Amino acid sequence: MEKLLLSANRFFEQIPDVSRRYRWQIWIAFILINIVILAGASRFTIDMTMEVFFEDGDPVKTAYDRFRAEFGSDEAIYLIYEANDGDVFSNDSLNALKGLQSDLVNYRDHLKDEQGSGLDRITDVISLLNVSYMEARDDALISGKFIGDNFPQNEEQREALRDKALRHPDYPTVYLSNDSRFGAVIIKTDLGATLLTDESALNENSGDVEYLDDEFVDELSLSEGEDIEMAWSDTDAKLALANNTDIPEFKRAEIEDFSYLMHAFSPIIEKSEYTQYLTFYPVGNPTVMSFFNDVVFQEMGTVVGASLLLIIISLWVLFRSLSAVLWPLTIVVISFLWVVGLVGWSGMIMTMMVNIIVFLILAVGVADAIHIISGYLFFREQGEDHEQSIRSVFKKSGLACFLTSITTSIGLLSLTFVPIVPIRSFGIAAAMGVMIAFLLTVFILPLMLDAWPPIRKKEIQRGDKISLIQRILRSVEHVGFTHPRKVISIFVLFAAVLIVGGLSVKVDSNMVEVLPPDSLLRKSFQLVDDEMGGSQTMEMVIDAGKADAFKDPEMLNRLQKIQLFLERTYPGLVGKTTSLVNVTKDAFKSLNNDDPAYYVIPQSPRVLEQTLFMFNNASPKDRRQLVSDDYSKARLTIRLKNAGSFEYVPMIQGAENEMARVLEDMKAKYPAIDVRLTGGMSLMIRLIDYVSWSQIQSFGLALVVISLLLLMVFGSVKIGLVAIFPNLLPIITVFGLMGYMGVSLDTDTLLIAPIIIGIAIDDTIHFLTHYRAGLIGSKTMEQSIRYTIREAGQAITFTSIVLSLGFLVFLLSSHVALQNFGMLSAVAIMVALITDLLLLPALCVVFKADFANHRREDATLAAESMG
Amino acid sequence: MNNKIRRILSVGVVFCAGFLCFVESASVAYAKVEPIATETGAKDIMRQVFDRDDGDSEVSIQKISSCRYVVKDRKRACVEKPRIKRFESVAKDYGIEGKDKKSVSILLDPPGERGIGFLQYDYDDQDKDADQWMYFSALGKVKRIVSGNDDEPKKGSFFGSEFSYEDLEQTHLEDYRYTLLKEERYRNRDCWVIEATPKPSRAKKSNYSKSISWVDKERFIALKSIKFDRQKQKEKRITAVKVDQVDGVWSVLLLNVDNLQSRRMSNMKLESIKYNVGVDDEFLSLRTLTDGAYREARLQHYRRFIEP
Repeated sequence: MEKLLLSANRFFEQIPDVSRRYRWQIWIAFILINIVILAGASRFTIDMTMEVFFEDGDPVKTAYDRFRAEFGSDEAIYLIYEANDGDVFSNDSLNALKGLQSDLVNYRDHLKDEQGSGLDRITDVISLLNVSYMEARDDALISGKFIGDNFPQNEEQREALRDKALRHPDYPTVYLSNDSRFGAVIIKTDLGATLLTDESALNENSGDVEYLDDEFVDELSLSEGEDIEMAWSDTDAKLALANNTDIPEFKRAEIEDFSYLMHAFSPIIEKSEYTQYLTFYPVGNPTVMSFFNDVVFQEMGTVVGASLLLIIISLWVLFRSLSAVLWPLTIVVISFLWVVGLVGWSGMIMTMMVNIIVFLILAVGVADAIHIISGYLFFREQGEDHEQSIRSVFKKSGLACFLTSITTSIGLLSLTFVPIVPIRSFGIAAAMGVMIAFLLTVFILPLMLDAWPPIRKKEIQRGDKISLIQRILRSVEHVGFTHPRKVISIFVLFAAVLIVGGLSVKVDSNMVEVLPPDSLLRKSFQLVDDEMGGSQTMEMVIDAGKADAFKDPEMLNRLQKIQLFLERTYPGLVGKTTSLVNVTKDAFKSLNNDDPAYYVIPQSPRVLEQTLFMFNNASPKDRRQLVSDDYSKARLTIRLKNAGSFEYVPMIQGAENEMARVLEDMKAKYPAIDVRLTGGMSLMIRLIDYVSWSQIQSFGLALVVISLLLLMVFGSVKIGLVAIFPNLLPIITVFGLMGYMGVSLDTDTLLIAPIIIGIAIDDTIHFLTHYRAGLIGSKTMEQSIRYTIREAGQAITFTSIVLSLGFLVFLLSSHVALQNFGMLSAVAIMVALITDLLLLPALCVVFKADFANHRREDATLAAESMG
Repeated sequence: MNNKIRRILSVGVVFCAGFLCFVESASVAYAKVEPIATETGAKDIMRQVFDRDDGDSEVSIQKISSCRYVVKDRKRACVEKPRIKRFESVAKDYGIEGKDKKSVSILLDPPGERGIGFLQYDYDDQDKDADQWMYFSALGKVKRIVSGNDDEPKKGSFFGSEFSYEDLEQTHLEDYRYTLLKEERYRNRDCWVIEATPKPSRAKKSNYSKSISWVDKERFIALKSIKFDRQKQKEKRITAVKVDQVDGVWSVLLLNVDNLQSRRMSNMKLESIKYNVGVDDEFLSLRTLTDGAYREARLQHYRRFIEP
């Protein structure tokens, strides 16, 4: 091992000279490689949809597709409005609502046939005006819209209407608030549920006679006289079900589609003719998605740009040399482009997480380059010439850079244990980026430094003028070994306080809490949660696996039981639940002259069947939203107050357990019965929760692997342990701060972990390799520490300052989680720096980390090589 | 730039269309068939479709099957067991020129819905909505069914199938504007291709923004119609799969509706039909729904006409 390390140092020492000898070949090869790799960049694709996280045939995704095939899209805008006069039933409010609704439905009147509109995605607009209503009057059964055009003409009618609405079992908290100050419009869309193959056919309605009918299907495939039953085969259908070919392929809802819809939608609710009477609070997934696309993603460019700019400035301030700014940036940019090119060639698909790769490469690339340049300058200041300085710095830092790159890559590759393809791809691509940055630093940077060294001649008159950083370092360098026990105690106390805070950190991803607290969108969600039944929805599908199952009163009874369970067990979370049960009871009551005693599920199968027949006949569209055509699958929509995965996931599990329990005795009758929570929201929340825990596990694993690696490299358990504690501290600090600040661990804040692993451990490795080199160079422990802090310490300080400033730029983002990510990363980096400058020396002193065995071996080796 | 291209294209299209019209009308004139290219011409065709002889009364058994399907090798295959509704129906024309219609339909299948009955009065008068009564055999109750508002598209579906009431109801000639798009052979028959767009008064009550029909020149039956939804997207294709003469009346014996958006289809099959039989006026009244004994007795009588 020791020989290996020594020869590794020699290997890195020789690299600059060897590369210089072949510099033309290397430059040409470098340019050629660039061309080849960058050609792949055009194949680079970013997929922002949630679907990309599921593989084809994933049962969760299949279930969602089946849901959409049966019930259509579950992406909806939930538009809450507040009546400015305090009454949604006032004439002003009703007229404004009517105008708004007409704008959303009849927008095509002002468009040419072939002109597309974001509103084309809207399939249904439901409010108090047109929500289905059923009532009995004399012997007549009246079904239609709740208000329709029959606006109240006087106060008496108005109060009667209000009373009817508030007493309706299914309207309050869904279509109006209990004080009738707020109303709601549900705007359903077909996002994610339009047929893929049909798209071209459906889009060409331009009136060109030749394309009137696309004939994508042989319309006479049922030949003359044959029945539809000929198009049915039991075995074929079973086969189709097994292979999922019974589900049509859907066009994915791209994030831009949500924006396109919202861009067409927003101007309508901003019209003064409506805002005069109503104040609007739109919520729902499309509003959030559109915010991400329009605000957060647009900002990302600015954030990355500002971050680069800040890094440029701080590099300039630190080094006062253009070449010291240019070369690190060149390496970072080229590394990223190579990742883009290689990912393009490999065919991997990237997600939004590609942003993180940018910052990782920035962090690692800049750190590597700074270590080399800072070391180079250090040796120049010591009086060495250009070539010797390069040689010295590669001997000192080459191995450290290699080790840091390896450990960071391991941290990232640990993500390949997460069984989700895009996360695996992310881990591979990011690890690739880190290694590319390393290779460029080792092989190309020396040539770059040859081409344009980062120093002006006149400044190489040995350090009369000591830089500010050096002065600071020299003023703290003794603290670690003069008061080691004090330092350790303070850090331990500090850690203890933080651990207490860290214990209260929740693993919780919340779709809404990442929105800026003062944004209208965030306030809207809060308001909808407070005034209505909740701003989110989850979908549940009970598939009995047998036609007509939901014409069986037993099944409806159980569905009702589940609804009651949800509403009673999670009163703070669950608002209104809606299923076939609600409309069945309402229809049955109407059939019995609105007698409230009949607001029940009819227990005779024939009566139930005929009640359902009546309902289906009156509003087939509503029926189709609740139960499949063959009555084998029923849908339960659960309106929820906004919460994070921390609350939702246990609720989902509780609900699933209860469903399994309630449906247990139905298994005899319906052996294939299957219950599932589905819908975009529940999928997303479970996915995110799963990803979070996978990240935690894989980073835990990475930490263990890296620690073992450190033990191996430094060849001593003692040193290994000395190295590990300072690396835990930044993590403890971040968790502790999150705990005290009430920030939860979500997929965004969790990405701090690889950054911490990447940078904190790097600092320690640089420190320890230099320290060890000092000891081997026959210095005392104290001398070695001084030497290390002055040389490696300078580079560590540089990188830490540059990178934390770079991360602080995230505070500019409108995305709360990204703000936290930036701030906490910066804190972690600075804590790592302080720890390495103060704690690590103290630990070395107290634990007598003197590399004693190394020194002996190295001495013999040195003697051998001399002899 | 884009506009320029569009202008050139549209000029081209207009020119070509004009040329085609010229050629077509010339060839039609040569074949000594009435040249029809005007709006009134298209309307005249549709008048003949509306006025086609469909008998004065009828007794029939019909079956509607529906399923969700996928397209496989350009053929539709049901992915679920088709749901079947069978009903017997007795209908008779009333009013001036027999434009009003009264009918009774009684469900035979599925068993749970057996005996559910409808009595329906359709009126030619545009301002008068159809009257409908429904009998619930399991409850022994008759209810008049009123669908709330007049000024909106009807939501109801015909026996829960893909056919909406609007697809099957007798529309009014004057409610639409017609355009003859072209003439072409479709399924080996000469057809007019006619576009019908609802006039504003009708548009707000209709589920469709327009429809395009292939009208058989000889029989005045639409062999195929494509219905466009209010977003002007293709929604349904209704195909007269089997057309034959029964008692001298051209009848669609098998009608298929394909909901192109939801990938569901329904077939309506006339299992047996007899036109112009004597139907009692009393049978087409509420008594048929409420008085089970009377209903059965009369039905026994009518069934004899259609027994094989």
